[in-house]
Amino acid sequence: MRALYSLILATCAVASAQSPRAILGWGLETSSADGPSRAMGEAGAALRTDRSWDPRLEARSAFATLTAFEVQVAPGLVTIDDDKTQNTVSTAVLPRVSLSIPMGRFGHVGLGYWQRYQRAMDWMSSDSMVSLSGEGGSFQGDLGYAYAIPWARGLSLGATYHRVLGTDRILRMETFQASDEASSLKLRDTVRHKFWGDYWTASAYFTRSNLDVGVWMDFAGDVEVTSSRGATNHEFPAPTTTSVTPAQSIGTALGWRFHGRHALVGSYQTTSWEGIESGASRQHQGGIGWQREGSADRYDDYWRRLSFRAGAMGGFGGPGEVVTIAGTTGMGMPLGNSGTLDLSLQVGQNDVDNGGPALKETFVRLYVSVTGASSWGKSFRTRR
Amino acid sequence: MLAGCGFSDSSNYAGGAFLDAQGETVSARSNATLAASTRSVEALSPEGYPSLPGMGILVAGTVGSDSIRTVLGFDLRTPSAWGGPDGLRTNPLKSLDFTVSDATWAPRLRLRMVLAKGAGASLPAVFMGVEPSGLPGLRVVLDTVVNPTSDADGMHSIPLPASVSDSILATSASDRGWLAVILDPQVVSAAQPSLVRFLQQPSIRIDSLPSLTVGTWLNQTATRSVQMRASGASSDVIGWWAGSGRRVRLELDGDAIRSSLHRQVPSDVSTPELDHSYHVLQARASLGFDKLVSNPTSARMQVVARVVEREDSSSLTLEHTLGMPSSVLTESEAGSSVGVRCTTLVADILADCSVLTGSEPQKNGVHLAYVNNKFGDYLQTHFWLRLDQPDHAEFPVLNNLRVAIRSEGSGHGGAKLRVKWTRLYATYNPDSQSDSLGWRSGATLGAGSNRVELEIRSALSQVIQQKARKVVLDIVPVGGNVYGLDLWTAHSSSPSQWIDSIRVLVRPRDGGNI
Repeated sequence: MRALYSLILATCAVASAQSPRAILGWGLETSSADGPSRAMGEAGAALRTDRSWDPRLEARSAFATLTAFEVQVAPGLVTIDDDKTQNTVSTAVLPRVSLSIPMGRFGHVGLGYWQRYQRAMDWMSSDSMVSLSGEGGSFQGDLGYAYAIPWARGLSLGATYHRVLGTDRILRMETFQASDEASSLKLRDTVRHKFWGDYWTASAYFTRSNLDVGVWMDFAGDVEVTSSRGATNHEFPAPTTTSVTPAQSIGTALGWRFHGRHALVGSYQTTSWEGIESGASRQHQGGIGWQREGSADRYDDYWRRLSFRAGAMGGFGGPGEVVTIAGTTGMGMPLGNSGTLDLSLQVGQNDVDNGGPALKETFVRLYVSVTGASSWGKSFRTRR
Repeated sequence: MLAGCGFSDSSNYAGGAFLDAQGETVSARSNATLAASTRSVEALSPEGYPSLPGMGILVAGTVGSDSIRTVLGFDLRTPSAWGGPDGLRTNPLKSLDFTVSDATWAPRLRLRMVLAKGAGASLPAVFMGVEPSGLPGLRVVLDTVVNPTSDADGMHSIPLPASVSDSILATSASDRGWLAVILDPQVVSAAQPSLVRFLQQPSIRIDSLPSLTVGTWLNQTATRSVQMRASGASSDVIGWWAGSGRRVRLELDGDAIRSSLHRQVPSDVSTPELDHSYHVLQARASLGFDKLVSNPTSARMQVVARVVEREDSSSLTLEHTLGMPSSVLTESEAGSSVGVRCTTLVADILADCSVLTGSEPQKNGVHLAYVNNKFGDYLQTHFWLRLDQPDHAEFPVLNNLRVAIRSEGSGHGGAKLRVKWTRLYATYNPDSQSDSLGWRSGATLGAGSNRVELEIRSALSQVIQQKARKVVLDIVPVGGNVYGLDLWTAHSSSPSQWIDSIRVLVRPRDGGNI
């Protein structure tokens, strides 16, 4: 656990600056994919597993048998290109922390933290006099419950409650130095958003033989967004609160296992952005992936116990009409008796395609996911 | 929650056009020159003035044509100090002694000694610079002109004639109250160099007995320096002189300034009450002066801006308590029983004004008048106000609430007093006028310059922004390097508006996410 803390702190210690695209909508969105899925084109939501929990597809976890705790961190590099200037900045994201608790015949409970949106960004005018930066973001506290339907073999249903909260801030700062003054002047201009609300996701999952299929759907929720402004030497009216429906997604995922340890996965999700970003079209995201799962026999050679994954993902629409295309690859490494370290490398590109000024991001992101799993909380009889 | 845990390690310059398209426009900076039309000009005493006796440093000398009067009070009601009720017969007062830091200081002084009967009811008026001849209960026992010289340590010793002791002895023991010493340095020429010096350790030497030291008057040390300029200054003067001074309060015409700026630098981000169109990076107000009398040779000033929420004023009758009007109280202060009361100290000449809670003077821990002057910060519950000439004091009483008491001087029917309550919405500290070497030369009056350019970006920002509220700018004198001796008077060359023009550098704000 000490190593885990060190890893989180080390990740946070590097830069979290992201693209200016973070100014759109509620910020840059990070999906809820679990660690292994990150390397499979973020398409592995339906692949049956004991070690992962996905807040969108809670129903999958009804068949989980191990209590699992997962932490993800994702350092990376983003090259931002606007056809005139190119800059590379390092980034850091802590997208998820989750705990999955199977309760046998009483179903499954999952809970987690999901840093869904991030404002983290950094921009400076070419004369270095005006800077724009973003901080914070809206995140979610998720609580899910899943239940395997007794009379329908392989079918489960789930529901997840998402508590939306968090704050973000966009700060513009100008530094001015008069030639005949001793001190420089710093003028600040900020917009702060505070988020508070909730929404629900319902999910269904079917697993039989080599096939896993899941579907999920977000219900219309209600999030209060309180906006306040501030600026040096300026006075603004009291903060205003508006009530909006958060982005609603409908998605499906499937997994097909073959040749024992191999699996192919795919997913598709469409998200409505009405009410979030004016003029943004519906967003479509999809991915495909492959996995060769390592041996579960702890006495096997270590290399045979490694899992290997690859995939591709893409999307278009949403805030900024961003077109995304990325390739993914990664591996899962056993840690001790029941832990797993999943490394997922994503290389891709986001291209703002709304007809306005060009903004292209080329990113290299390494998701580091540490999962600890055990049969904690289950009686010996149940374990058998 | 955890998203903001990192720091940027490099500057990103890419994406400016994209941000511009999202409303995050960074407009170019622009210069403009604004005519500063003024709605009103008002002369006020500086914060913390008039100060009571014993406050600050005792000085004596002349500044141009102004003589700085020094008043010392010696308590005669304790005859044991000179060996019993008749001790003066065997131990007469020998000399008035004091020290100045400069042994070469050799002014020509008019020395007056005044006996005050009993408790010395008229003595406060002497401390406030009133001539003793017309005051009841006072008797001048010595009026002479002397040319004191000092020893090598700067000790001056002015011999006192026996008539002073005789006059005291001639007074019945019950009438024997205070001995006031008035020192008026004589102005030789308005063009002569300043001759202001610290005056320290004043005492009256008595043969074979310890010297008589200055007394304590109403818990204050009975000494005060008064520069005669205090009484006559009007709104064309700013300055700091012994015992008081003058600041100038302006209300600029915000509508005209906004119109001029919008015309020169188009931008429009505003609501009916507020104009958010600009960040003011620099605003240099140009002020011209046609006369400066100072010690030392330069003068400094700066500008404080106050945004006014509400104001109310009414007449105040002597010996009556005037409560704070409900129009300036906030909801949380609605139960506060705060008022002011001025009582006569010397009829038609001097009043003692207090801030009251209920019927009692305010005490520590309640709401005290908090004042700040060049001698530091202090709390006081009362101050003295001249009734025979225009006089004025302003100080805070509750949070963001100021009260000003103004005497219009004695006319037919006695003194007229007015009280003005001002609820401030906000106060903006003065902008720095310093460069790396100290006070900017461009903001320093004197030494060959009869014009200053004061930085007023914070103040002008409010004038531009506040469309529905009144913004007042106080041009206040600033202490210099010679603490306590920076005494000066400057006459504006355009006293109807004070500020001739304002040179600004602004960056228009956009109306996007920021």
